[in-house]
Amino acid sequence: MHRLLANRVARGGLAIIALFTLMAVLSPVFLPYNPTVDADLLARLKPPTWTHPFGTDALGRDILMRILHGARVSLGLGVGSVVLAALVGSFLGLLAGYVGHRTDLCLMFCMDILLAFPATLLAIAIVAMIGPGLRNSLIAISVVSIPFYARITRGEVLALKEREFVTAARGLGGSARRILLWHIFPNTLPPLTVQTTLAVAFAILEAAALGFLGLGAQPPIPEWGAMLADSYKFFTSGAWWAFFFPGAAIMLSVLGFNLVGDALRDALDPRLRT
Amino acid sequence: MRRIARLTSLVALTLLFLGTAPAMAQSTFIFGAQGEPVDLDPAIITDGISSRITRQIYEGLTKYKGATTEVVPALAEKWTVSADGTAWTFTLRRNVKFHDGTPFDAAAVVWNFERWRFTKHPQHENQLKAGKTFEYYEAQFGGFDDKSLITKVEAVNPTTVRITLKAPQGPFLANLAMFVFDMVSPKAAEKWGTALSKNPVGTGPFKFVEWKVGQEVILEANKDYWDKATAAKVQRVIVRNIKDSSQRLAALKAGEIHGMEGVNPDDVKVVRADPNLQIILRPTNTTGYVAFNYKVKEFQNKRVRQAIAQAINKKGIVDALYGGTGMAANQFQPPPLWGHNKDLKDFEFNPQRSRDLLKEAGFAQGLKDITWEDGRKEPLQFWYMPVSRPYYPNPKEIAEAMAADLAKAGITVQLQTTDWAVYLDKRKNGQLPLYMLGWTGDNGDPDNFVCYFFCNPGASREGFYANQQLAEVLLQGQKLTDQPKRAELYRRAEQMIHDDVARIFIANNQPPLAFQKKVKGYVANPTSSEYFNTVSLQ
Repeated sequence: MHRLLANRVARGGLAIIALFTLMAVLSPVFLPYNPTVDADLLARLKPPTWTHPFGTDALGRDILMRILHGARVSLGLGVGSVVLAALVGSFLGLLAGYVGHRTDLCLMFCMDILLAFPATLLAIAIVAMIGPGLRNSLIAISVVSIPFYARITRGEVLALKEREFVTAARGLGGSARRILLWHIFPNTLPPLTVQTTLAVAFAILEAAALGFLGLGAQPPIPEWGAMLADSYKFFTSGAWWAFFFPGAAIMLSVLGFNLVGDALRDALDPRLRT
Repeated sequence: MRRIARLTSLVALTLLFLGTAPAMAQSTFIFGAQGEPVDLDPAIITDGISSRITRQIYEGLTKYKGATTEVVPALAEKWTVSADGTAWTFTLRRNVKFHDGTPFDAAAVVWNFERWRFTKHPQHENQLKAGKTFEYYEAQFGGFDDKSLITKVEAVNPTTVRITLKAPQGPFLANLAMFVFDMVSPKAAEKWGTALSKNPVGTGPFKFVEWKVGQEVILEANKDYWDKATAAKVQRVIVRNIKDSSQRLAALKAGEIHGMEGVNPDDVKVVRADPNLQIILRPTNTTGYVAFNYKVKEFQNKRVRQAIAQAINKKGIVDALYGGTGMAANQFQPPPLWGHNKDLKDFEFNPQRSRDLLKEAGFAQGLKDITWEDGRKEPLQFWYMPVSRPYYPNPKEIAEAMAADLAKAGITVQLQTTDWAVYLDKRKNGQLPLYMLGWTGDNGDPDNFVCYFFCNPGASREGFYANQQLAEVLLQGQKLTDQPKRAELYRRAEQMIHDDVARIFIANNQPPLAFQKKVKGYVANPTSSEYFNTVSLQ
């Protein structure tokens, strides 16, 4: 941890993540917002002022308010889908790596099939099948991220299960479940942590992409990707604030997770340890 | 490095293009369309993007005059009708030739009618086998073969055609002026078969040159056009497919195209402020509505329908979201139609009244969930279209505004949409509980607006709305040929629709088109497809 904090880039990333997390957690508490009744057509597309620091959108809704509440949606989707994917993926990886043989072959074959498709395309296909919406886009994004976890965990398990401490545990009569859970699993965590942080960034981006295509959050839920999709057409009529701020929010949050992910990888890479 | 090379070549090309633009501009009119034509066989198509192109190549017996839906002679010079209104005799123009050199005569007219009418006609059957239908013929003339309203089409002599109808039809001449009933060259149709859609041959002021799929359709002036006075003023026409409206406007500003359809409402003022550009408004002939599904128990209650009608701030929506080209609607027919009911008083926008109505209807807590007739319960979904249409230029924004209005009156809706084709399909099958859609008139006849929707009581595509009395009034209007009498019936029909709150009409729009200032003589027709022969570049 201290190695991470010593890194200036990581501190920047953590600060960004903290900022967005605060937005996601605090805005519902301090700034209650009901998107279903929010529309004031007389105040549409007003440039940033003190009352509307980020301006208003095509329906006269305060963009700052929607971005603050959008943080909850985007981060929720990002973190939620990654947690789901990590749980399922690492379980599959543990199973494949430890059991080996046919199970391994079978599971990894399935993962390879999933990996064969470009992630965004696969997510779109899944949402198209199960219907648009927040919950379904969360599922879609998790599904496309599962193979990464499965592969990483499996690789680690394959290496770990030949190590002496595992042999020792087995020699002492430890059950498979015990060995997996207490000896192997904890040691797969460092690479998974890096993957998870980077995956949150990817998931936020995917969620925004799905929202942009109208497959994610449904109106009037404030979601950054959807906000961007609704407003990029104002490029020609000069209302830059309508698409600039949602775009900036997506970029910043993704940047934050990427910076931390990179720094984590550096910090956890044994080859870089001195 | 490769990217740089590509960039330089792009810059060079642009410079080259700009350099040659003035010389080309004299002779080529380039129009930016919202999408790709489906087909170039006028009898098959139903969409405006395709018909804009076929209208340049083909002509019918009659046509609409300039910016109106007034029916004037085209390939038919004049006509007479029998006293009972069932026998029409058309005198055809002489010395008209199709682009392939074959003469346009009575035999060609008979051939075209037979192709539309008989499902066993070789050039009809082959289309059916290819999965294409003569949809509009069926809609306008009651069906094919024995069901067709047109029972006989005969060539009296090479320049005279007699058409016999089962019963008189009020909008007959207006129907014939629709792009669907333009005359194709029989010889070309027989030569190309279903590929006629890619090799159109008509009599119009422009000849087909090439269709570059996904890019553009190129036409050139017909030097042998029968009427020298209305021959094309430009040598070539290119209709370019640019899907994204912001991109289309950028192309217009950059001078890559001379004109475009589908201007974002918020870009209207941008175009107006640009000294090089101009806006031409298409006369209004389009109505956006919100429709109910009558298999939903709640919507069977008129109070609930009226509550929804009074909760929506039409004027607010039109003022804010139509770029100044729309107006609030209170009935199906737009004001210029002669069946429009001027005396009709709309419900006022009054959310409090909506709440009261809901309370009277037994929904004191507001309306959130619905029950279908078969017992299914679900949250109330409000469906909005995934694409922009003339009547709803930005359906999502409009839907969100309406949803907010409804929420303020205690009606909670979930906004939903899907792929356009699926949307229309669900609508056709009566699966949408509450949805947005609209209509753009085809022929300027009230029948085309109102009857299409309300002449088949209980039809699934109209949400199972069954109003027998209304249908009778409309069918009576269709059979009469006397316009004042028909107008009276359509006015009554509008009042009936309004009194029953059968549907909520939101807005009429005058869809804006944007042009460079040097484009002269573009006449926007209410039916959405106009002739480009009047266009010139200065």
